[in-house]
Amino acid sequence: MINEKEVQNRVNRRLSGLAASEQRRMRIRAAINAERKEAQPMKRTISKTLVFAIVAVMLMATVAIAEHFNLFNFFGERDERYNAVAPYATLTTTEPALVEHPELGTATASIDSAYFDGLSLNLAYRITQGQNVAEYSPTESELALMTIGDADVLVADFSENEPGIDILRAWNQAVKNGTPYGYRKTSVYTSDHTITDDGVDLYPDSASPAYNASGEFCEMREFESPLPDEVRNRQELKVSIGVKQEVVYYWFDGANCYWRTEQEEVGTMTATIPRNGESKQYIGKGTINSVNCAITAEVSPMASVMTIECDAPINTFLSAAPEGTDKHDCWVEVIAIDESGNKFRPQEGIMLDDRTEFTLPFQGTGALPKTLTVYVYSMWEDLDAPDLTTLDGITLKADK
Amino acid sequence: MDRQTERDFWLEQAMAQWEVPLLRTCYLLLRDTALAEDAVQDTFVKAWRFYDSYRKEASEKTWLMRIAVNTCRDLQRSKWFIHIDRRVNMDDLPESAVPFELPDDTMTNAILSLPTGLRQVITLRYFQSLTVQEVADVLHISRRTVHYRLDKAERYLKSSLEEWYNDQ
Repeated sequence: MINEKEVQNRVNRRLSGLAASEQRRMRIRAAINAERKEAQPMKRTISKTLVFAIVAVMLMATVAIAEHFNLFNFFGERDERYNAVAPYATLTTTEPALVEHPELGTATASIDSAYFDGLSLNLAYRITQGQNVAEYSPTESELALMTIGDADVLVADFSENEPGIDILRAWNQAVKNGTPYGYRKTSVYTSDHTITDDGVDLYPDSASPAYNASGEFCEMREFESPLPDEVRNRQELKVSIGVKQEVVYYWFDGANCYWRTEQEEVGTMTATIPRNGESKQYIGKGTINSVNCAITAEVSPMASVMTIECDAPINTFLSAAPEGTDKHDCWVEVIAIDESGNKFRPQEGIMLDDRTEFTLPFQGTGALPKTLTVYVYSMWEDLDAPDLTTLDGITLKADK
Repeated sequence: MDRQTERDFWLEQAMAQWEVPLLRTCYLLLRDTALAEDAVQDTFVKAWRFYDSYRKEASEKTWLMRIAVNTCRDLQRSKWFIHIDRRVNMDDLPESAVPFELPDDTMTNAILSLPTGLRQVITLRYFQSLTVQEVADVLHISRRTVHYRLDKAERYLKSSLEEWYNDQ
């Protein structure tokens, strides 16, 4: 375990030069005053026509969601890419884990939808009736089994729409007031591991949790792209995720916090995910500043990997930064734009050096492009982004 | 007190309380003093702008940290940061206000050397003392992902900072 106080003390001493500054506060106040002045006329520019248009769009969106809604739509409220692939994020089979518990009734954990295109995998699941929170006061013998908690335990964490939120708030208030209070939280939760039927452990690169308006726990798992070689070419993925049950008891006696937890594995939820998206090879050749370059890309709606090969080292034909610029302040910008103007965002980057070939991963836009136009150029600090129409773009088309 | 006055009053209090923690957090996230200055200014401007929609479900600290992290992400995306893993260099830091020792420098350097995702969780969890749930909320990731990243970050740090770990 990291010693938290040690970290704080040492880092604060090392960064003590980063101190409060009245000049900085004046700059902040000035920026806010400028924004305040700009905001005044903005309010008057919203017309009745625009309000009508907004309402109409909202109504259309409501109809669309009602017609075809899965958790990709739910998470699409935060990330439009999920909305774009939501209609395709289907499952061949799904088998929930059912958990019977006196406090929960029958909790259900099930994989709701997933999108798999060989390059990328996104999976969404929900847990229904997965949490119950009740007030709790331990007996003497129960208290003897509990552990005195640290500061983390004192403050209850909760999210919007989480079941039992009133009791969690009451706990926080009691701790603040120094009055005795306790609660018991029974919950069903899932393992971090998503395992294929032949044992490949797909660990999520990121996971976004949320409670929906019905109080169901929902999570979107996004896996690292490109996927491991052993699963990339499959036509379907059979996956399972372990389901666990936990009961945590908290008691605050007015001065100290006590807690105890009981956990057990209670089953697995499984699903068969068809290859419901496709990735395509795109190729293109052209010149950049008179140097021949060839680009190959594997592109799917959610991800892309692009390799660029040139006849000369990139630092010989891309513009060099002004003399005196630190080489770390100069980099190679690669922008890929589809026929509709949507940008594929690079996930990594490279410095301007003597390499002739490099590969970069990109985040997808939610749709397969017809064409991709790729611009490669050098950038450095304080340089404005160039007008792309003045640059050599290389157009990539699907390889037939 | 009308809403405008209340918002301005809040801003003054927030700057007094959070200016320095935000500045140091942004520095740890961006590894650049000038950008950290920009990020702190943007954070307060955004917080002031959205003050009316702050529902106080999260603590003020968590709310501000969330804005700061998003602001730093935006800066990283719009700058050359997205493309290169810049070498850690603390030379541009202002002169320290209090004396520091070599281990202070080593610890800070070790954190700054972590990959972005791991640096974020270590900074928020251990430097800012946010709970795991708060870190998850700030970064829009699950608690399990926070634990996973903390575990990974601790393993990174442990090799160079063995003496500062305890086994409890």
